Amino acid sequence: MNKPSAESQQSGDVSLTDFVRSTLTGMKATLHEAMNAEVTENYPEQQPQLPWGTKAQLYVDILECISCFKCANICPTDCIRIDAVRAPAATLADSSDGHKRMFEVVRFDIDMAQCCYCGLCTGRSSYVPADRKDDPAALAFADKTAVCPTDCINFYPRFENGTEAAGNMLYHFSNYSFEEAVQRWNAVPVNMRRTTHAGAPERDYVCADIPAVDAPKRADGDIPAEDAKT
Amino acid sequence: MTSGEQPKPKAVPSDPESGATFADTKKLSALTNSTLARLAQSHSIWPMTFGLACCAIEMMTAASSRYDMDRFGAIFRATPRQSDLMIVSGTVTFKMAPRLKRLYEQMPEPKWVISMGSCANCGGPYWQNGYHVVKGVDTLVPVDVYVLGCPPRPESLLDGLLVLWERIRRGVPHGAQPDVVGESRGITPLNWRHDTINPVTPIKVPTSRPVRQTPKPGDADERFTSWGADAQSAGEAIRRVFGETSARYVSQPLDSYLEVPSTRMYEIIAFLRNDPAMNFNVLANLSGVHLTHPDGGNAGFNVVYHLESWPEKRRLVLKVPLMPESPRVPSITSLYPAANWNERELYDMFGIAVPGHPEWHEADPDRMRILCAHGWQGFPLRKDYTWAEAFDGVKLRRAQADPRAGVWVNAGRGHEEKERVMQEEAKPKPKPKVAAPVVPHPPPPQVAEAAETKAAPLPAVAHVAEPAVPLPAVPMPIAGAPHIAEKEHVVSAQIMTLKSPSGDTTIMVERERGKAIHATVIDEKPNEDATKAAKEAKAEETARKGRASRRASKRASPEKPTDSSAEKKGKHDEQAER
Repeated sequence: MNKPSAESQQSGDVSLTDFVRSTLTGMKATLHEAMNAEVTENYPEQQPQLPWGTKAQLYVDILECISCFKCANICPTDCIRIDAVRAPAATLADSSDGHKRMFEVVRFDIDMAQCCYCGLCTGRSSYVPADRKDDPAALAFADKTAVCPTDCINFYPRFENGTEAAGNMLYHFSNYSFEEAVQRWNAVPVNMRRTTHAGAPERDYVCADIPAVDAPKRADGDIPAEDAKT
Repeated sequence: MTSGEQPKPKAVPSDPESGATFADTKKLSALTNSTLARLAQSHSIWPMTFGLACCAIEMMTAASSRYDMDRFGAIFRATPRQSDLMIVSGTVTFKMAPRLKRLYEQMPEPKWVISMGSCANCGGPYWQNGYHVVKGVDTLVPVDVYVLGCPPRPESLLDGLLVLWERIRRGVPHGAQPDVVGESRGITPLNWRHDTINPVTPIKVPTSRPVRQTPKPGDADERFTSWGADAQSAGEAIRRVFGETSARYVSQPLDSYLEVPSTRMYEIIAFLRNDPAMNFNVLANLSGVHLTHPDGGNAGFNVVYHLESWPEKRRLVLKVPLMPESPRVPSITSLYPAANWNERELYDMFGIAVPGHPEWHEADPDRMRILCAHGWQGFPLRKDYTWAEAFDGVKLRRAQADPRAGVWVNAGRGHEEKERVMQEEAKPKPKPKVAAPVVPHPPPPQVAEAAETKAAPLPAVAHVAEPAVPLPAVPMPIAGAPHIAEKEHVVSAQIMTLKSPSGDTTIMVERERGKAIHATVIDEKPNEDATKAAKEAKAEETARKGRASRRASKRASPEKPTDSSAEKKGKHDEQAER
């Protein structure tokens, strides 16, 4: 474009023509960049528009959870820990589609530090965009893939999750505090408890330093062979 | 959640008598701790160009023009000596750990560390079964800010940088964990759905994107037909040259192979490579297999060689069986230079000695290590491999579970003090006569004992309004409840509720692997199938009465029906009639 002329190449100097030409070329590029729209997102002044399906953080709508443990069973890193107790008949609560929730989820913790954000645990909303909610093909696809039957665990596009404390990476979704959970847990007989520990014996949290917990035994004593490993 | 806090970095006194630190002696503390200095530090954090795994791709993207980390004064430097911030972006292996620590030590004070992504936070997907991954970079160096994601988006990293800004301006010492863990950010008081929070921005798919052609029938098989497994003919040729016992042909559906003894292996492979009729000029792969008996005993090893002949378009799989004790196989690096690192991995992962390899020394076989760090104990791909407790001062395992009361408690990451407390509490203790009160969350002592001795009274928690009223458990086999209709489409569910055909009785059935193991009556009303027809007839009768009374009420004053449900049913019937 702005090759130095033959004389300047020979003499080694830069002629005035080359100087002016190269300056104009540079200013043209500068003007071009100055006039064009900028591509930088001015975060944090401007909130970025994350694309649909962003896997930023899991969120559990605990009032919809029926503690079926499907999410905890499919989780490849075992980062979901659930404790649930059978709800008394008086406190059976309705979920949004009218079904009774038979269990109270006293503890629903997700260790987001261990989570690998694969999305296997999520429900239908994570697979169907909002503008395709009426598309039967999309819904059929979602029902094949989605694990959560009540669509209560999904990705939530909240990316501002940096924290200074390591303990903050454990997310609690239950409505119970820890003391309430322990009290509630100990108040029911063992055959009315369900945990990720007892419900998934093959995905046991084996720990070398600490001996494993005895799985809750059923009251009738009829323990199948798979459960009798403890 | 986590009560264990990391020990704060101690200032090393430069003058032992007075205990004055370096900063004190130089009269720098007033300057470095001033608000202005902190502001300046936070606005010119220079991260180190140091990426470990896939998170580093997002870190690089955060520096690109769309996110433009330079706006925050974060300019990447190519040396630790000019850096203030180390972004640990990715999986920290034990081999990498000493390098990471050395880089960290080369950074000048003041310095900060951001742990980016799940692997750096706690080991991530490898926290359970990764023998080679450091379970959290905070076991190595003090961490200031954790960024969540796998990998985190560039926006998340920018947010982590802003969190670090606030931390620096508050004057928090490097690596100090906050005393009080902040708000539990998981409980988001939102009835969240995708469409309410995030307006959908449809992603435009360019129409000019090239569409991958689906392979035609025959395409996939062509490679196999032209590169056919010629193990049988090669085996015949080998037997002709080396004798009848030199090779055994084993037929398999996909890749038939030859078994050759390890004593003749080197000359056979040399023949296959050098003979113009064979002409196997490429070593495609070299791998090992550890075999076990069904009872778990060591059954020896297989070393597998995949040879290819590109001019002849042939492929050959050789297997060399080895004995369980001190397996040895001659090196073929002199024949195929590509076997060099394959054979080093063979020793590294399986402990198979490879004499003849350039790096093999009988006195020091550890020089063959290529993936694991030097000095590693054991061979990870052996079936009987057990993890060591620690390597190079870094613990390989971490307590993850709390055995108390069956309630799982996050053990925290990198807090050795907490681990020690938990291990002490896990030791068997004499049972207390009176159950200890339940204390606030992090260490709930003796809950396990309380669970065992059910008679021990639990202290009441004031804000639990409703006392727990356990339902009586009625164990009832399915065979004993013939009126329960099983549904086949919920076989895979672990728990399901079934209703009797009349809809009166509801039971909860626990199933495992398609077999009902336990049933509990949840909701039972006194009426049965037999009484249902009578009930309907009665309802019909009351409805008729209601209709008659309503007709009468048109003329006379309205009278209230006694049974509201019957009234409802009557209305329903009326609508059905119309």
